Amino acid sequence: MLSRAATRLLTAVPTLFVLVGLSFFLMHAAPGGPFDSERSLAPEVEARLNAQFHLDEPAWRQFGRYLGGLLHGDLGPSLQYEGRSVAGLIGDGAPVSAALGAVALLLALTGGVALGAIAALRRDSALDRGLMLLALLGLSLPSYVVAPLLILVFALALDWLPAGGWDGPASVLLPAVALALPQLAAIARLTRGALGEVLAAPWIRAARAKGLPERLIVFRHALRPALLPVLSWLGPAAAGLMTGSVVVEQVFGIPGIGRYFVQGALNRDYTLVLGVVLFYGALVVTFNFLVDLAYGLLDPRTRPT
Amino acid sequence: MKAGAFGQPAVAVPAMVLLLIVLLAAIGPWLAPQPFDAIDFDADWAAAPSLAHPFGTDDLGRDLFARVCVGGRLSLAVGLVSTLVSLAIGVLWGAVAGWFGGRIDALLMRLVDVLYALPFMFFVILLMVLFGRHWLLIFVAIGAVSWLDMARIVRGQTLALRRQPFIDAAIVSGLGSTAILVRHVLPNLGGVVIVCATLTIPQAILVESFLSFLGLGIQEPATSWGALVNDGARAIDATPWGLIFPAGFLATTLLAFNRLGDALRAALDVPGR
Amino acid sequence: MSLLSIDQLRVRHRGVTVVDGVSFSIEAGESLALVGESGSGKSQTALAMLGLLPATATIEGSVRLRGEELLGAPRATLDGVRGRRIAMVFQDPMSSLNPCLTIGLQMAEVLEQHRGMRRADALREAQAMLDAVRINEPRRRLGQYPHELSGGMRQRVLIATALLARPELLIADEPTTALDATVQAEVLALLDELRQALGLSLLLITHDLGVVSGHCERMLVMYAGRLVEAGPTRAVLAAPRHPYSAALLASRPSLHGPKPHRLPAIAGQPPDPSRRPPGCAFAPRCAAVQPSCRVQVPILQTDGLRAWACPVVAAGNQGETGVEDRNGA
Repeated sequence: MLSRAATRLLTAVPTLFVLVGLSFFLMHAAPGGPFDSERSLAPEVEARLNAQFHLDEPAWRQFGRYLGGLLHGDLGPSLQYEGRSVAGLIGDGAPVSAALGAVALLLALTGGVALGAIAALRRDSALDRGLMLLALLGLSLPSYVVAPLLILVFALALDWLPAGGWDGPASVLLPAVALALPQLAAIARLTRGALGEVLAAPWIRAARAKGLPERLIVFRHALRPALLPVLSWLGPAAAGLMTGSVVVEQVFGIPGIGRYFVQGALNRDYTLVLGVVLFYGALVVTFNFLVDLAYGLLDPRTRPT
Repeated sequence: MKAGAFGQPAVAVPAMVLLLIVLLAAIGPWLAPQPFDAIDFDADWAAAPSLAHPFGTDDLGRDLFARVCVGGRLSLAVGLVSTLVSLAIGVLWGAVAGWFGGRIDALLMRLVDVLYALPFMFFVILLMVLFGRHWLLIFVAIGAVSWLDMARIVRGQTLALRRQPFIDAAIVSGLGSTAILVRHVLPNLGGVVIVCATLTIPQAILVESFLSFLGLGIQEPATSWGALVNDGARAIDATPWGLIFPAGFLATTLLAFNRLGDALRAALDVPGR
Repeated sequence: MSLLSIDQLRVRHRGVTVVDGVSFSIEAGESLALVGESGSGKSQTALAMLGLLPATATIEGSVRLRGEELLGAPRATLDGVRGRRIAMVFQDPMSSLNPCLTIGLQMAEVLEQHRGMRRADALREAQAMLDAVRINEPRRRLGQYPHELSGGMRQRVLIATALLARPELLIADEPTTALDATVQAEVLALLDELRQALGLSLLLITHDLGVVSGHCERMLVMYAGRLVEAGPTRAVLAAPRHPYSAALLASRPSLHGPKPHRLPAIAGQPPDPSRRPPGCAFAPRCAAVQPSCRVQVPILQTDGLRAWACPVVAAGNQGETGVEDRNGA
């Protein structure tokens, strides 16, 4: 168990280093500076700005400075938001994005597992085919299509829920659904496949031969091994939710990290964009690490005897 | 590869749908009443669908039918070209790792693992931010981040191929590694690569439309389905058709590619991931 | 009344008949062997009896447990029979245990279900049963997972689990096939011992005549979905009346008698169930085949003690099946 954690950690650390290095040097290979778009900066003003943000130093010095800052949780100052640090901006947006992401993840997990299980238990029925076609449609409908459609139906036409903003539980629902839908569809497909496979396993027939009711067969004997692939999907799902949140926050006007990221990207706010990429990268790496540990706990076969 | 895969309805139906969409994107702009970037001063701005403008017009009076077709050209081209890029990198990477095995394999696949753990969409955006939003860069950037699946699958398949007798025969007959790789391994990856590529195309289309939706992808006056969805979403209360038509085409295309990939996987008997 | 009587059991999968009109009965306390090659329908018969075949299978006939019909019975009735009155042990001890659940839970749930016991009491009884099937450190085993046990130990766990609710009948489907030879003998001896101690009936499904001779009083032989011979084990093995039983017996290595140059195999393959020949299914491989065999399905004839489905061999002239002569057994 401990050695497994150690090996995973040995992968996670270089992953993070690759992430930081790649992003930073890509940034310096890029043509043009962050102040290019400001139309009429006097040369001396631009020089002063460059000096203030150490943009006049050689790249490796800047990288060293950046790495040193990272170790203290310092992602540098934002180039566009005057007087704000990147860490501070991320800190502002993180609780909102985390809440939205958590609700969406919960929706995707419960809904996906439930629908996938229903499809697997009614395999090859009309219900199964219908659900799986819906799931494929869910995978094919990106969040930025679902989100405006949800607004059109539930906010504008029916007027049941707010069309945007971040104000109370009602405002979480539509963005969380838009964010969760593709992941829900993926998890439903995954659950159906895995549960279908497990239900055909000899130990399920052996459990039936023991006279166990179907309820116990499904919930105790089949679902647990079937959920292992779903568990390993949680890493990619987290990455998918982060990606989707960028769009969903934009569409619904939610003050999360994603909005800062898009604004930063449109304004070529190098430090902000890099900071968010690093933050999300670190989150995904951490998440994968935790999922790996949980997998080891749930699947006795991976535990050393 | 089994002949007659296209005779099965599960394969044929999505293939036909895609063919129709490609045809429409190709010839549609000539059928449209006006070029996609021209403004119809006679019609109302933001006109609802009518005989003159089957998909309506946008808030500048541009014909949406023409715009959806032209946007489709770009989205489909991104899907194809990016998939080709990912194909080139992924097949080479996976085949080399699977063929040579040992340390080379460990190193190459560890790198894939590392890259896998990164939220790649953010990387594409970073690339866009840093190097400007040139359409060529969009193609390459998307291809460059979507070869990981291909590499993994090709590696697995190459490993399996290596144990086949005809490969032994080639080794015994004195053929070099590179020659075997090119002449015997790559051609035998057919089915796996076709399935994987079919499923990569919708991914690439999705990434491009994601970027364009955020305003980080294709720039005016050029357009793509993602950019059109973005325009439509902004004016959703006034001109819902501006969202519904491009979103419908985008979703149908993605659905058809995903269905086709699933069906080909079953028809060609390719194991899932 | 017999403990279990099966009458004209017929099983079809998507139009293909895999069990074709099988009838037999099991008496209380009896040990009965069901013998045949793989694909002969013996496992399908057992699964059909307990309603364990997939829903796509069509099952006809009758399976009565002390007069109560099991075929088509509601799931609740079946759940009261399975594991409680009829228990089953499957061929592969590797995959018949759930890899994600502890041994203790997989045993205790039987008692919780059928005896309404609480977990702690059920575990205590499971531990006693593990001890009875001579598994060392039974207490520790309860907390272990299947992959932590050896194959022989897992099969003992499955037997112990099957016996927990004190069933009247134990169906063992090739219980030793997946095990090493020495472990096989131990498991079979254990089954004998438990059967006598608990007074239960045993239906042993096997392709191994060696297993049959030492452990079962009566045997049934199946070929291509049909019963071809039935009778007391000793009598059938001494003088088989159906050419297939004879051929099966001849193709078995023996410790006694002259060592054959090489073991005779039965020529040809068992028929594909979807393309069964008309008439006797064994006719294409039979050394004593007559023209009528290829036309008419032979009926099961009986002399009160034994039964056989071959018109060529009459009750008086057993041993003239031709197959034995040819093999010089």
